[in-house]
Amino acid sequence: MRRVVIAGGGLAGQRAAETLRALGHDGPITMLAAEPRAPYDRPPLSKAILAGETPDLGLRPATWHADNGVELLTGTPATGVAPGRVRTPAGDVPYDELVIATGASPIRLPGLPAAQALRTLEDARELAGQLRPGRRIAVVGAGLIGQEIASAAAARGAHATLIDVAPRPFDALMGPGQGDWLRARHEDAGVTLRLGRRLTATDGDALVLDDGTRVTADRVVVAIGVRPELAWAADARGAHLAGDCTGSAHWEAAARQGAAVARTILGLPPRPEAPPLVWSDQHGARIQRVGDPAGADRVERDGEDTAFTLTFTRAGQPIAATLVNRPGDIAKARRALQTQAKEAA
Amino acid sequence: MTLIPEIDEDACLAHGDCAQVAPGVFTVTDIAHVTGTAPDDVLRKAARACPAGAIVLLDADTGEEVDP
Repeated sequence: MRRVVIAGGGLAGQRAAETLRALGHDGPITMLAAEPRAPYDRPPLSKAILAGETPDLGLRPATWHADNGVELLTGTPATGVAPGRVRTPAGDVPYDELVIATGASPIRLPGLPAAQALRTLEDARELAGQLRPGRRIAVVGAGLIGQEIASAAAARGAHATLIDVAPRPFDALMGPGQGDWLRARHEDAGVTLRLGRRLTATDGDALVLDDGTRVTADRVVVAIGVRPELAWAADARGAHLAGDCTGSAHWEAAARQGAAVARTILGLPPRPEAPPLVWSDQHGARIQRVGDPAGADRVERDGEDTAFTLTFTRAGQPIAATLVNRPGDIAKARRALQTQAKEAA
Repeated sequence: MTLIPEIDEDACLAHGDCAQVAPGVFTVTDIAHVTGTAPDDVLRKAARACPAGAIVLLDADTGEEVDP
């Protein structure tokens, strides 16, 4: 019986364990989770948790690992690899197959040692406590996480300033040239936008931007991306990678990759590809995008200002869709892309 | 109308929201499986809750897909 060790206690690792068990692997499985808790869902960290809610974030019921014969070692990070063994502070763990799913860590700015990042449940709880009426929150980086932090801050009466070097950061989620609707939602909610601006210095509790603007803040959050957590695995050979440590930084990709490495270990063929999916909750709107809108030569808009669909086409074929407050349409939108992809194949 | 739920296996990501909304209908292993039935409004709620849009609802009489 092959002994599988899954280094990492996040979504990708959990999906790998589930898929191995569901598809018949009856050998030992050990999961090494760096954090002191069972695998949990991270998307709510920048949504429900910042909104002050206390949802159950467990990816599976608390007894899942025990019920399925998966040894879960929490607070036990993988720190190195020797042939056939993963090193941890609690000793070496032998393996026949190694899944590397150790995720990623937030990139920090050296000039801002006191700034916070948002990656773990502790980060999110700490930040949630800061989102109070009148508090000034500066968010460096207007990607999905930064946008959601600004949205949550505004909803709770804090004053958020969103800073990014890109002049149109909302296009990344909404689609090329389509970010203005989301930008307006941020402005309507009272979020101050400093876009196309670079951070040049700090001065006391103020950030100084390249046009001389000063952003005074009680709290600075840096959300400029993540770096794969792979340094410990430099000596790993023949291991299987899944999740954010591969450089993909989306929930859906991590879930698919976790399941995919399990199939590889079991010698099963891969599941068919599906168009990528991302979603975000901001200013009361659920925004979902399926497919990749880069390279679209046409965009069609259908619906109202508060609930609409953007369909992106290239040479007359749909390549992506962005849905705002239309969760019931995501299945149809995705299948339109899959049908088109099958016909093209 | 009576609805029949199906799982689009290519789309399902085993998120498990369906099994929370309708535990008697869906069971999640490596992906979700239909293992029971429930009133139409519960099925619609489950289909809308799926982040991947992987639950397909069919009209039991006509076999045609129905919007959740």
